[in-house]
Amino acid sequence: MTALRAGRAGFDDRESQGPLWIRLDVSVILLTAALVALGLVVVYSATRGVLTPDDVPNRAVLEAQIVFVGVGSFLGACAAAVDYRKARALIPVLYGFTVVLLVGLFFFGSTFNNATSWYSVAGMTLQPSELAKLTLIVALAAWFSNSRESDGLTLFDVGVGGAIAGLFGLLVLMQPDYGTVMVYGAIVAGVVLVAGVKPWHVGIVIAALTMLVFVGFSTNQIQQYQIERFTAFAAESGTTERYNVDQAEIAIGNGGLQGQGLFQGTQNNNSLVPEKETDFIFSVLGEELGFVGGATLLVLFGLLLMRIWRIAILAENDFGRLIAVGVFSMFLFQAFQSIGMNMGIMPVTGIPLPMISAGGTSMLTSLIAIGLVENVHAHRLR
Amino acid sequence: MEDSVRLRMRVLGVVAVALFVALFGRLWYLQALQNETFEQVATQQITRSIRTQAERGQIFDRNGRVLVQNRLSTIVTIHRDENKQALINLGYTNLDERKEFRSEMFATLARELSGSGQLTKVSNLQRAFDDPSYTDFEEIPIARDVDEELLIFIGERPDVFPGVRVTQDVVRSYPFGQAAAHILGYVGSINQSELESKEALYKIDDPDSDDPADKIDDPDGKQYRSNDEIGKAGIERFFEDDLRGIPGTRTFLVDNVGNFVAPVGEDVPPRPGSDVHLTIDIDLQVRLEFELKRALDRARDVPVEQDEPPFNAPAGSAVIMDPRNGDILAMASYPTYDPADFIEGLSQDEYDRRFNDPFEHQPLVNRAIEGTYPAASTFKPFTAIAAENFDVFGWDFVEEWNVYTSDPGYWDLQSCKIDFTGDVAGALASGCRKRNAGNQTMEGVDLQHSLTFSSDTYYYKIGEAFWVAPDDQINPNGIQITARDFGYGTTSGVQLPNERPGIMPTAELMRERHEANPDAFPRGQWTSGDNTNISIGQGDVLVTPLQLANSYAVLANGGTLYSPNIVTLIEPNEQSDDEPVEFAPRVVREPDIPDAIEQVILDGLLGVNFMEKPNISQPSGTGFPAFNEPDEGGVDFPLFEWPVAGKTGTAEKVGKADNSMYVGFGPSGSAYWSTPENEPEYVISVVLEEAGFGSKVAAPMVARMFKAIAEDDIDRAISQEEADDFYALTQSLELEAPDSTAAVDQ
Repeated sequence: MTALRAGRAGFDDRESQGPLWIRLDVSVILLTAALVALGLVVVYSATRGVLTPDDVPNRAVLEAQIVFVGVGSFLGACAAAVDYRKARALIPVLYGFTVVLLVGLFFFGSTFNNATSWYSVAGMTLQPSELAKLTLIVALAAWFSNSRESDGLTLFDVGVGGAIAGLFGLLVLMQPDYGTVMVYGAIVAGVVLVAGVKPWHVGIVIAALTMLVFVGFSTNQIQQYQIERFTAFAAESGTTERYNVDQAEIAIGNGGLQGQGLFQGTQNNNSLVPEKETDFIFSVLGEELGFVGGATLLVLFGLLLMRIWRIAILAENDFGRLIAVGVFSMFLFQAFQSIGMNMGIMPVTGIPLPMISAGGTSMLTSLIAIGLVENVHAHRLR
Repeated sequence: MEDSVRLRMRVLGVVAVALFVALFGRLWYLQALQNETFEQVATQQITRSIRTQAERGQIFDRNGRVLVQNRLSTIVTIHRDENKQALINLGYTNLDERKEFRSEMFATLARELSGSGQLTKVSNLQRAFDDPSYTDFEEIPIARDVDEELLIFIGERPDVFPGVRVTQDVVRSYPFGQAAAHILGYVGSINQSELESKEALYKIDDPDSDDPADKIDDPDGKQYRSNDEIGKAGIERFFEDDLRGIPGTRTFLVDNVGNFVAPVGEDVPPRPGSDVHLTIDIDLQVRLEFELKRALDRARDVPVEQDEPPFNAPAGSAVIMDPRNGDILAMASYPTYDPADFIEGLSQDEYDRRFNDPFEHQPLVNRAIEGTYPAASTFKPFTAIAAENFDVFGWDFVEEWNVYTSDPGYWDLQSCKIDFTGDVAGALASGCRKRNAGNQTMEGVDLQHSLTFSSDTYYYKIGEAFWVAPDDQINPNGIQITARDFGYGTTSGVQLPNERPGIMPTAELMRERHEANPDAFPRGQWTSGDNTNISIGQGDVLVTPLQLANSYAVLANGGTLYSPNIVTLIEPNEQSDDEPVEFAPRVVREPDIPDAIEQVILDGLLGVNFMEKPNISQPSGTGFPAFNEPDEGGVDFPLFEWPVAGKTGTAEKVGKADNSMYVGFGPSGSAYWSTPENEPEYVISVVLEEAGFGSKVAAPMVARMFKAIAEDDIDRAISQEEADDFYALTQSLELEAPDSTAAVDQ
């Protein structure tokens, strides 16, 4: 027993306090459950397709989403169960596997909305770029926790980190899916910030990105519709580019303080907001549940982010902390971008609202991410 | 954990808090501060209000026969937005593909329409589709009066004809064809200027108030929208506000592509417009139009002198009135048009070709109220009345009205005798000698016979006396004052649009016009010559055929000038709370017809038709051949049973043939002509442009019309088929005319 204890002491000094589930942050699980439940309700409202009393509600999307919640919960539990520190060695394999998935899209992928981002398997679609977020988080966390020195990162460290993210970014840009690349960017930004990036590193990165965008324009890799969508929030009201955002804003404004009532949103029921069950899901929530519902969602997200932030603070090591920071950055950016876009203060990019939007891979990614931070928390230092 | 990491985590936290504050702020702004605005927009987006058009009122004649009604017409419409959306759904995502699809669709449609009997060009369909006056969300009519079988053909092929519908529309229908076209008018789509002029009508706008309740664009929902139907002419236009009903509204929920989902609230039903009952007798009207056309055709066919070409006689008009109350019984104008031609609408080219080409002589103009002509000899009774009223008879060179004089065929102006003493040639050269038509000499001319023979000289003297007599003895404007009393120089007030007042010139008017525009009016100084001209209704005296009839109605009824009515009753629809409006006879004034000469004038006017040629050197009454000599183009008229008093007129037009005129009334009669004295029931006036002497063309036409009335030879209750046959007949007459002209040329 002593030998056993001594052998494990280097890893965890809290393991003796009880089994895994006791060491979890229950509030994170409750908040996630609340968000997922809210999401299911809103997704159902957005997809039931009932306009007249004669219409039969469509439950297909809801049911698929429930399946993904189930699968995601299981995968999240798995992600929480295995000690993340022990899995560290597997990260290069995971990274390689993810690259293969992303490259495979160019050969076997399905195209929706002008982007080849999905594998169609048995009637379901899988979006590898979503799962790549998780790979990116753990890969960056592993790299920077390894390379980190007491006086912060070197330019070489940042460069390698950039290359790790850059490969994914490049592959996803080619689909093309700019929104997800922006999420990668947010993850990188969060992780390098906490890992100890220096201001002049940031300057160099910005210069490099600017050049990339310039090259993208000059070689026509960036297409007109992408620019239009991106600049939509600044466009004149009433123009075609503004249509989606206008309709979302009308929906949210129409909700008022109390909301129109669940299933009662006219903007929702009349399908006036395009892609309302995915990118524009917040407009449905805003319209039907009003400020009360919208604020509740923001509070839930805010509390969840606070808890993840706390997990990062309490993490046993830099690796764990950076995982938590990566997940934090991902959720923060996606929530802000998605909700902000719905309210017309952020550009239009196809980013799902984590745990709310319909979309299987997004749900899996979010729940696995929650599992990861729970994992970090379960092995925290106290 | 190192301090630097703690710091960096704080930075991350602060960023997160800032972003969440932004989201909260925006959410509050949208949902709490802007809620009302967005709610309004959202409501507008899911509801559509469409207007249900109210049925337009009908128009009836005095005997209750329908002249204008409504009928259902099967029409084909296209909805631009639906067409576009459907094509996008079918995979035609770019504009050129859709254009190509549409041109093929229009080709198919044109073939089908033409196959079902409605000849249709592809270009017409395309033009209708592109009509900028329709929004993308309206049904645009592209073909009318199509075969109902198209309903099935098109309805079953939504993929071939996306956005195309076959539906029914209510359109105007004219049971009597083009009869009374100028009175009834026609309807068409409202144009921009009409829209603007109507806007104020249905608007509440109190400039002194800031209360929004005092500024409502369209409180009753009666405002016109583009492409609404509006009366463009005639009764349709004059009584637009009565005939047009109040549109209803129907509000319903729509889905995101505008498809009907469910009704919202109660429909506001449309209120049909009021019916208009006219004073017109449609049988009399049809006969008058027929006689008018026949008279013009005759004038074109028959050379008056053997070596003269036939007259142009391009146009004319006629009015029948009841002198007892001012009712207009019939009013015809030629050339005419078919109001049904406007149902489909005409292209600008076609409109110009049919109505603006000079060779067409303005068919849309109602010459009975819009045409102004010299009054010519028909004016003489009023000069005579002026002479009596202003004590001109017996003044210096003017004989008493009952003194017989001889008429040498001319009158040399007194002013010339002073200016050109002894210089006869100079006097003649400067127009000092005023002649009778054809230099006709007459014996035994008193007032009565001056009318019967139509002596100009008799009236030249009176005209000059008015001007040369000292103003304190004779008012120099006496003729004009009298003429105005009888309704000249001012609109009569008939309930029709575009009525013109004519002109009753005075020295003052001449000066004003000259001063305003010396180029157009080179003379500013009124002279004796001008006064002699107006005494016989020439000069600048311009009157409308309606004024002519109306002034003779005063002679016929013994002294009451009416404002003529063409409408008897506005009868609101049963569903309306509005009160009916009746149009009682409207007395304008009772002009003074001096007792001393009233009977003399009547006897003179009867003599026009009654007086045979007494001897070889004397003329007959100017209307005598028309009423007594069937061989001379007249009729065998029962003058002694149904006496007609009248007056011919031959108005000179510089560079053109004379206008042929006649105005008369009956049944009249007097002891002098050994007939019973009747109360006249009809006045008829006729003006035939460029058709020669009044006695030769206009008088026979009126004689035929009076004969038909006197012998009750008017086809009563003409049926639709008969009306069609009648117009087929007039059409064939038109075709014959050039043939007979050719025969004359040989």
